[in-house]
Amino acid sequence: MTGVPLCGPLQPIAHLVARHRQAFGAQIRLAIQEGVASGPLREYLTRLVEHGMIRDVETLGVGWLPILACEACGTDGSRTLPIAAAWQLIRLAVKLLDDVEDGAQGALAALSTTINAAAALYSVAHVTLDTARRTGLKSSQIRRIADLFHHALLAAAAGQHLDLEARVTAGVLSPDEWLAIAAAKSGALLRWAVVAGTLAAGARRGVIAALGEFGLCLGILLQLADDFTDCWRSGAEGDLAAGHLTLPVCYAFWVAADDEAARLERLLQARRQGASSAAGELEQMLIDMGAQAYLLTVALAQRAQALAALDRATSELGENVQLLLKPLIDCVFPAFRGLGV
Amino acid sequence: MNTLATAVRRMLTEGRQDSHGNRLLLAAVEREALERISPLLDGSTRWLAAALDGSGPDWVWGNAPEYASVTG
Repeated sequence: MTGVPLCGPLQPIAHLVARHRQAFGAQIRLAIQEGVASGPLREYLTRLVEHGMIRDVETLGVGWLPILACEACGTDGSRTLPIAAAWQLIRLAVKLLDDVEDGAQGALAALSTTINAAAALYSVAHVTLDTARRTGLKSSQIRRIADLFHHALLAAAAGQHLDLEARVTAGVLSPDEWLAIAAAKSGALLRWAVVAGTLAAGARRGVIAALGEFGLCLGILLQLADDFTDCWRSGAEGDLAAGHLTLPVCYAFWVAADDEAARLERLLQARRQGASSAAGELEQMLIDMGAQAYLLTVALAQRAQALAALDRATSELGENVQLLLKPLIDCVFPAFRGLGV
Repeated sequence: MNTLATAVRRMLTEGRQDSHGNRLLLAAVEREALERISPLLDGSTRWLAAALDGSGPDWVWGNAPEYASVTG
């Protein structure tokens, strides 16, 4: 995930990022050092982490969710450093598996290496969670956070399974089915990242539930942004080219008349087979059918739900919640800035 | 989500007034979102398409949620 420069509305949290940045990066390196025996695997994972995750913590993004959620609850975010490190490691693992599933890894040897690295990162993330006692968390807190971690990962795997099954059977998902998959694949993980931060801060149940809902909406927004980019960003070779079912395509099939559905299917088929001439026609057809408008409307609805959840937490915790967590909405879905919302 | 999809399509094909009844079926949060987006639906969403082509303001996808490739 690319972050954003700490300017404009993000400026007030610049000091927080600056305060934790170094320790955050160090904690991720420590997780690899302590979790993996010296040797080629450790070296490989270190390279992955240095190129991806360490650079990622230099800027604000969803990688900061546990720390920001903890700070929003009025507790020093350094308590969550092992949790935040586990969160970064699992994001990297999920990204690696996504690349494999999307066929971006090329040769079999590279594919096998990637799967093995992802499996190792899953384990390192779990081991790292256990070290949270060093930052003052009680065993009961760690157990609860770890338990929720397992459930979030299982939910994400279940969502990914549904997505992959739809690819295999070439079935068409309804928008509701797309939402259920997005909520499981991405929403459950981001919800955990926020909830883990609130649990580390010892927040009350109502706050945990409200901020958890915020995380869920943020995860769905991430999937919406991903689908938007894949469909319409110039030069993108993403899910649309691979023939995967993005929300714009699900929407289009849902609202299409028979003749439109047939034309859509022909264009998708051509796109899957590498016909670049079909790309522009397909993108325009989706726009003409209202897929951009629909996707933005869904995104606005998720944003409104996320803001309502933040408001509920704000009534108990104060404005800090808005200050620290609201900017993440625009980080995840930058087009909101252009809508003037 | 499914109802919202139908509402958006009807808005585009039949005009805003005709889809009013349909919009009432939506949850409040979706209805509000639809109303926010409707001023932008003045025939097309070219403003967004232009931005995606690189000719528009960089706020649209200046920070697309794409992970840096760490395996290449």
